Amino acid sequence: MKIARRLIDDLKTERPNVTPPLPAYLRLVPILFYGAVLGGIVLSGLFLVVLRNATATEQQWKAEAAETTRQLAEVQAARGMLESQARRAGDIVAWVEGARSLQPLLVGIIRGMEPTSSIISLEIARDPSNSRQIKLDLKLNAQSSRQIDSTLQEIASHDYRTYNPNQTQSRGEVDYQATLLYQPARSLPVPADGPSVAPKTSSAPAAGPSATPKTPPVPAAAPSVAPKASPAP
Amino acid sequence: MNNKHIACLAILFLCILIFQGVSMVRTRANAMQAASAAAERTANDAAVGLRMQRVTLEDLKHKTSDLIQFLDSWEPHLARLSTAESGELNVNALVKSFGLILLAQRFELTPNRADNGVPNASNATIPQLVRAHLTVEDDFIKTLNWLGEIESKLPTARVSSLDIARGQSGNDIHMNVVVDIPLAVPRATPSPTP
Repeated sequence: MKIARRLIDDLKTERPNVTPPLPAYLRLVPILFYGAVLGGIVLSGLFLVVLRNATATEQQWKAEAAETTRQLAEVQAARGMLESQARRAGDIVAWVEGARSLQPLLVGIIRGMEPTSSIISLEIARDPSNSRQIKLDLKLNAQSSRQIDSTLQEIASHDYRTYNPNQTQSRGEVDYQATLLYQPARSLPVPADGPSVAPKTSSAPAAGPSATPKTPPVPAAAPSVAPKASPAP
Repeated sequence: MNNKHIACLAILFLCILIFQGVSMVRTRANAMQAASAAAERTANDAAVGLRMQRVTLEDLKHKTSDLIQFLDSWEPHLARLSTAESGELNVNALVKSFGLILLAQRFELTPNRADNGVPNASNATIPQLVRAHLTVEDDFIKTLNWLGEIESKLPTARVSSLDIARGQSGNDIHMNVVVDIPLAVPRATPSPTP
């Protein structure tokens, strides 16, 4: 059985309003909500873009810094290697400075003997603490002091300077002792097939040679002693 | 407070949550921008340091070029006598080639001290040397030529002591000679220049 709508409405009793309407200003609440949703989406998107760009930029700078650090390590390694090479070169300079050829000096001293003089003994020893210094002890039979003068001239002609000379003479026997020091002259000694090189003293960064070596290059072959009759010891 | 009020409060709470979320995103973006700026500063500082190191390296290269060239010219001679055996063999070969009368010979391996005036300072490049004690008695011309040959053929060898006296007969001389042959540590291979 169908009841007419009008009759049902008529049956419904009147009820009091349990929820009174909100004040008018609270109509702003939904407007605020929609605005917040919209603004949140826009601002969040904007900040996310900024965040993404900043992340990419940071990665890029970090990669660049890492590459620079790697290159820096390479440069520092190369510098360390160069410094160690220079120290090695300094050590070798010190060694070869104290390894100059003695045979030309020896030959010069022997050839400088006058016919009336002869060598009794000749001792040459490098100072262990400073191999550039050579101790000379020469005993000879000489009739005059001119022999020692000519021997000293011969030593000087080989670029050696004498220090602390001590000479004793008794009955034609002369004992001459001195310390010989190589005079800086023109360039470092070089091996027979090497170029003549004169390093600057200031160029050694940490352990370079203390004195500028300026001495004549060693000849490719040591001077050969031609037969000479008289002054043999 | 009725349902409508509660609904309003819920909506306001949602608004606050949205604001909080946006604020968090903004804070993260700002932090990341600061981190990016810090990374940029670090990279720039590293680049400045690299430039300075490169300039220093070039300066050092320029200053040490002569020394390195000197080292290059001597290195083969040092490498040739890198062991005690090679030093002894070279000296013996020279004695034999001249046919010298060798009265005595002795080789010893001895530490090398730095030649820099510091007592007992070791030499890093040439830590050891072979010391040859030789006593020769022969014709003085031949003996002196042999000495010159030793100093010429073994340019790194150092005659540290020499004692010459008259020999037993004729033009002979009696010579005691001490020859030091350096045993250098091998040269480190230079890395490719950056």
